Amino acid sequence: MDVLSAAFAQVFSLEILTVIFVSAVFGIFAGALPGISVTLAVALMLPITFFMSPVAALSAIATVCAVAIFAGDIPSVLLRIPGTPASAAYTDEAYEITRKGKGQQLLGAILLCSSFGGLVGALALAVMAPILADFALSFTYYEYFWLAALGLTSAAFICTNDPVKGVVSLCIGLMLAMVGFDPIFSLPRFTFGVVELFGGLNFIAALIGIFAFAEICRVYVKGGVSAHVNARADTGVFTGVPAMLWRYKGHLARGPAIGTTIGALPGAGSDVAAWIAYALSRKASRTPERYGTGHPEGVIAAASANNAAACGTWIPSLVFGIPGDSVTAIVIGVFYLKGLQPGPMVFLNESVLIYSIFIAFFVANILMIPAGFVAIKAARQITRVPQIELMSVVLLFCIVGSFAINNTAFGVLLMLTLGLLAFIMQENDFPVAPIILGMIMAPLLEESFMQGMILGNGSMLAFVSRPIAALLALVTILIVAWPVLRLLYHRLGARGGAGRPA
Amino acid sequence: MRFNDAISGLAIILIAAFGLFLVAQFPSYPNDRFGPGLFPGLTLTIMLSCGALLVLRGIRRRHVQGAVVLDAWARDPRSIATLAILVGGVALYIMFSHSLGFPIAGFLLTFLLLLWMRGPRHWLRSAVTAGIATLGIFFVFAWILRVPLPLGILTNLVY
Repeated sequence: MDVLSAAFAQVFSLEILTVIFVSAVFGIFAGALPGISVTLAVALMLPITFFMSPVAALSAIATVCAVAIFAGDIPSVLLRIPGTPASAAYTDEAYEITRKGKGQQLLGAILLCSSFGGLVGALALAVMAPILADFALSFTYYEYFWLAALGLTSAAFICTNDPVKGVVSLCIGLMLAMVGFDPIFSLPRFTFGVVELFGGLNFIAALIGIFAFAEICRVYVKGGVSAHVNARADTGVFTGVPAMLWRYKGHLARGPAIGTTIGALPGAGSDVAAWIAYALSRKASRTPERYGTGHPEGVIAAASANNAAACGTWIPSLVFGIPGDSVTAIVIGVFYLKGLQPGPMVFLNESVLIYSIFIAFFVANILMIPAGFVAIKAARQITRVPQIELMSVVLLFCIVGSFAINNTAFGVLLMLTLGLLAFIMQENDFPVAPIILGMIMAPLLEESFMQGMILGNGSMLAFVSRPIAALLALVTILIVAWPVLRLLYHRLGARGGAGRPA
Repeated sequence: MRFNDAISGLAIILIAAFGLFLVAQFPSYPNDRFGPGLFPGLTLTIMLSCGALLVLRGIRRRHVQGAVVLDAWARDPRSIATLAILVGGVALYIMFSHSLGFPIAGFLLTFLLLLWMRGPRHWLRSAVTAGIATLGIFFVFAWILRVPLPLGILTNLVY
């Protein structure tokens, strides 16, 4: 109880409330701008959070996560351009509703659904995380190794279109993290005698390069999106919304449950949650034939699911130190930057901080309603910001942000190099999110692997000697083997079909 | 600009092979079975295997996937020049920001980029945007967050 009241006192201090408010405004603005994803918004915030206390920094990130997912729906509904990938699942459906002249009403419904979904997700986070953390206290190097391996495997295999390219990106991330002194023997690796490399590659500069500079390159060479808001006469923001939500209450209840569960799985984030919630909503609907024609049922389920997932992804990150998606990979990086180790021990040693994060999520999801209302009203102006000018400002921000971490131009050079690499990789369909996951997870993966090898005297059997470790190993191996098994199944099926007499 | 998977795979194999060559140079201890090269060695081996898979896939698809496919932007000289100006501009910033100082180098970079993108007719709008952006970011980082952004030739003017 003392912890909870201390956390409340901390969050409701003027400093943290100001941080949450400013982050909410930034999150709404960034999310509503097409091309600025939640990951990019959080990446741009990092140089500022670097100078904040841990509670302020993590509250700011939690707020941006919660608010930007909703704001991403604004250009989805008005322009048919998803503001963030989490809105992509229902962009076409939402735009069809706008064409019927009910765009503002839909945004009002999405706003309330997002807030509700976020609150359910925050509640699940606050209830589940401490229970799981208690359970995770018994984990050894073996469980941590397989957890990290499972998280990375999911990111490379499930959340990408091409598992081979996903694994390459992951390996690049792991290798980038190995530059500098190794964690067991303290010997320099891949430093080439360059002094700046001895301390390792700074992950903030790398992150800014991979997500922000690559995006600037894309907008500059391919041109930005043109924003023409549908000018058709529209209803009020909340007109008829309570009746609509009551009509689809089943979907409103199911969406957050699906979102939280999917968010809690390693490697899957808000975008995956929205796709699955939309598909399941269609399956459960009495009128599936109306989907795709401007029907709000699926939008309500998916919009509440993606916000719930934004909270759900924090569960494996806080409890095990395993990121749910690229945003929570950044969160783990922030923990390390602040000298904290995410995992079950942080629930014992930094319980006030953990509860402050939970409260920040609740505050952000409530604050989302007035902030979102203003954003919907100002949507035409926000979406009209010219992308070329915006990206020029973002470029300057990237340069200063990557300089500010160590106050050297080396950070800017790193940002430029990795940004260009990420741009070329994206052009060739290599996913870039696994690079960041690899960079963040490499120390945990290598340490747990090396300690496990030393403890087991080189026997890989030791890694599956405990029941939970064995189960995690089995799931990881199944994910890796799945594409091969599927191919074999299809080939055998085709051969069986060809061999059958006509 | 899309390369055939065989070309991407070959590049990955070369990088991984170079990495494995470096790993082989890591010191090893007589009584230790697991040295600092074990984990990077495993990672690079996986990377090399993926590179080989990409090469095989690229060769199999060579009839449908050309060696290099140029997207619309890559065929447009202006877009190529834009990318070169963007990357070159940041590289020049890295080289000269210390002597010129952030306010001048940052302004010049943003102004010239906007001038290139928007055209000389919009020079005033580009200058105003660049000026406001540079001053705003300088104010936030140098004054509020106390980041020692280089002042260069402006040092004597400020102090």
